[in-house]
Amino acid sequence: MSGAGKMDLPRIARSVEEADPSAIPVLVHARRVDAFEVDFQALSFVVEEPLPAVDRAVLGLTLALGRLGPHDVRCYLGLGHVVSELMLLRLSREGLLLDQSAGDEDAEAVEAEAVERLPTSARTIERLPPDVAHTYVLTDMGREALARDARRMFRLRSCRLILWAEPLHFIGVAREPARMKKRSAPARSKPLSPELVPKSLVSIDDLMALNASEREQLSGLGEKLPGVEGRLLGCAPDSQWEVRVADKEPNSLLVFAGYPVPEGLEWRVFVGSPWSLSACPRWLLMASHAPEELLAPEFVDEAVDGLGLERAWDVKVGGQEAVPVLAEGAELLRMLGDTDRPMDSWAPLQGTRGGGWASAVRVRALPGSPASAHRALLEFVCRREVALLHDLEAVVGATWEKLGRYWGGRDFPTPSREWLLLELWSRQAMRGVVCQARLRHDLVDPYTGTGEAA
Amino acid sequence: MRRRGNEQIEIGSQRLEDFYFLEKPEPFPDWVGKATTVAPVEWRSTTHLFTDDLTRTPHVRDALLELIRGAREKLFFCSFIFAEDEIVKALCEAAERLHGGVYVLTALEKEMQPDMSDLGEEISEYIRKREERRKHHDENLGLLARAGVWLRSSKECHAKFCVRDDEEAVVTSANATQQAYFGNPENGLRLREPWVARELGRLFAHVWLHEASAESQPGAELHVHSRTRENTPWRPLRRETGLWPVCTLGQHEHSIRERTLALIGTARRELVMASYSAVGLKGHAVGQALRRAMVERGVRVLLVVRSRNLSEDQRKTCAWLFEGLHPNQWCLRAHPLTHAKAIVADGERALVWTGNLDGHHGYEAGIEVGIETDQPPLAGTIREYVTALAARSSQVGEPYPTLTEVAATEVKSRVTGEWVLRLPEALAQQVPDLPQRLSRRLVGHFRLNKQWIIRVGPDLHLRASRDDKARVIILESVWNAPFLHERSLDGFFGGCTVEIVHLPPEFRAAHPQEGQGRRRKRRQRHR
Repeated sequence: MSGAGKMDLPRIARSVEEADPSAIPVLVHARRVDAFEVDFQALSFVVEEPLPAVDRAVLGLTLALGRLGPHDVRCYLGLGHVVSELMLLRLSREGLLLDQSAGDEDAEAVEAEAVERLPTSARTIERLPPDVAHTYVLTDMGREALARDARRMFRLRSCRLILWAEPLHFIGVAREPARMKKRSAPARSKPLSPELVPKSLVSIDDLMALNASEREQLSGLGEKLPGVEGRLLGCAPDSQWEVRVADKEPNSLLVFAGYPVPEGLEWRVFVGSPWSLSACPRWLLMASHAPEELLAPEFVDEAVDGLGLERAWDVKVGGQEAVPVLAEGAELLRMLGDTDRPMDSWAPLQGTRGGGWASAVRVRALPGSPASAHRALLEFVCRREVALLHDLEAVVGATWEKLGRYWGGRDFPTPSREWLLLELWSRQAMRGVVCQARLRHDLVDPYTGTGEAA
Repeated sequence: MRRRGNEQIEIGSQRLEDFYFLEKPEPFPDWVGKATTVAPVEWRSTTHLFTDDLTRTPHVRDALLELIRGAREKLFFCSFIFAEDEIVKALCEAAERLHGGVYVLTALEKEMQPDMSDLGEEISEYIRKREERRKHHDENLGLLARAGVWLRSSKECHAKFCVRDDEEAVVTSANATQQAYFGNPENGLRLREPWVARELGRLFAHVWLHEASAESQPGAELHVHSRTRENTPWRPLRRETGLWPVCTLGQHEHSIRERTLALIGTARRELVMASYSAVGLKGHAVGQALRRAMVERGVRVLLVVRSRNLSEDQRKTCAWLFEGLHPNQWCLRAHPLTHAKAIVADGERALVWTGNLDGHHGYEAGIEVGIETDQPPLAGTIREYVTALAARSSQVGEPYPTLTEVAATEVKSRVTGEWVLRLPEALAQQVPDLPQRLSRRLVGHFRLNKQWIIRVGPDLHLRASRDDKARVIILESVWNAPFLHERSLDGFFGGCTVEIVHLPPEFRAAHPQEGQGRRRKRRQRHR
């Protein structure tokens, strides 16, 4: 289990919001998990291929005649004797046809005994007596292939999968750098000796033996592997695998996000990198053995206390998706973000909890005093310079209202126009706004009374 | 040294067409009276200001600084150029103090080219000085923008005035430059009549709001962007007795022209005038009115302009204006640096304005501002100033002088003494009467792309080179290009004796024939 290291928790929290935009979390816990590269010598896949025309013809003929032999293939399709026989043999090996002479022990063969030869008006190319001793009938697989115009092929491939051991979870498929020559390929470390291989990976063949849905539930390893053609069936019998530590695996982040619900917090699990997370089944929550105190609803209050922030108990923010806290001056501005509207911020908790968990709580910064509120207004107003040049009063009014709503209706006195203009003037880049605000007074109003349409 | 068989001609004794300004002491005609020492005089609420170029006392600048520093609410300032640090500093301080409210009309970026008329330097210095001044101007604009001054620019605006709080104003001929405030003769009026200031403020607001084509809003840096002009109705400036503002405002108002015509048309005895230039008047109503006043009513005229012998337009305008009049009826003086502008009729009525006696600009088009007065004390003060300026102007307008006389006035122009002129055979055949032309017509010179060009008469241009040590001029070829006629001369040939040495036919000019160089270069490139 790796430590938390230096984690950009606000970034991780934003990735959580992007991965699941349906709700807003109030708390996130994240930790890095050790990842392993497991090189399988042979994984079995089933691949669907288009049915070749000649196969489709033979299967179609079988369907029409009910049962057929090499003579039928030769008479109706005009293939040579040897080819006809080999064709039927191959289709039988692929499971699309059933050789009736294979033996009575085969249940399907017994059933096929009942298949009668059907009459047909199709003309033959040459006349030969129908085969009696060596006939074939369509299997269910053959019927399906004919209906879908595709056949299933089984392939064995060597694959390198990236997996977490604890909890056991499939991360992805490792790729060799494209067209890289062997001598220029990066050197790999030695495989882990058996005693160092995590327990869950020692018995990975058990996992591979399960059917796809069970396997996916337990490890996230489903039928489809990204970038690999076909559906994964499992490990090829008697094949080997070796395990290495994946040093630079970016997608080794496990994140629990707590969403406020009436009963407390609802937890959702995400896996991936700080920049891109994807939702995962909840079983990972249990499998990761996260400390219980991290998942308790009271942790939010403890976290806020730990941050040294004063909680604004009297303020209710919509949905309680953020914890209202009081802040002043520069800290307030930092917590409100640098966009054109106030945003909740993620306050990371110092240090890590048991198991290397790092946590961050979503806070909503409220001004502790009218002066701070006015400073925040000035800051947000300055971010809309173009609109300010157009209509100072409207922008200030709308921004003040927006901030008021964001602060849960907290009531502060409106700053005076004079104060605002003075503050704007003190910022050199905003002087144009002040000049624009007085333009009418200086250049238009004094002269309109004298009759000029200014 | 004369060589046997070579032709020798005299250059310089030929009389030239038009008027030229010559350095020569000449007393005023009696009717002008005696010039007295003048000082800014206050009449009721108005002061006639001027830059005293003798004592280098910047009365105009001091008045402007007082206005700027005294602004309590807002300040309007219009100057084509800002190259005077004290004014810029005062404007910055005013903007800081008032938290905005300082509005400036000036030249922004490329619009700075047209008016550099108060430079007062020789042409060769012109380009370098212009670039220096442009840089200084741009730096000052940056300072103004950062201090919170709102800058706008109108290409047509040549007016120079300042209005404080709609209470007080200065209208002046001076741009905001060191040269204008300390070196040039400049004048103006300081007006403490609130209604006049208010009218000038209205004019400024109209130009600033509706006629400006570029602007830089106050901010962290100078950022010029273009803006759309609006065609907005304009109510003409109010007129009252005593003192009233006039202007030229594009197509909206031409009261400067109207009042100039009225002043000239009602003059009974005399017109005393100062202007940077007198050009384009022949076909213009103002010129026609002046000529009529002199010819039909016998009005006497004193005119002080800047000496610009190289300006053909001014030479021809003056020649036309005073042609056939008795020498005692007119007095034309030129000052090398004057930029003052005023017209005084009979010592009783006067107009001080920012334009010039220019038929091309300022009467029908452009933006100019002026103040007219019908109060004799004020008009008398202005007359005294123009007369004193005329007395300090050592150059006198002279019709049809010799080339030698003109060359003696122009500092840079003299090619005098004995020279050898090498004339290639081909050129001699192409212009067979070249010696006659050289001895009878105006002979001047200018440089174009490092090539020395001699102009003979109005239309012959010769490529030439000059060896001052050996006193040899080598003529190379005739150059016929349509744009050459528009080029101003750098100077004239003075009185000189020229020995023409015919070069043999095999002589080839160092300079390639027109077009060949370019073709040769192209061929080399292909290789």
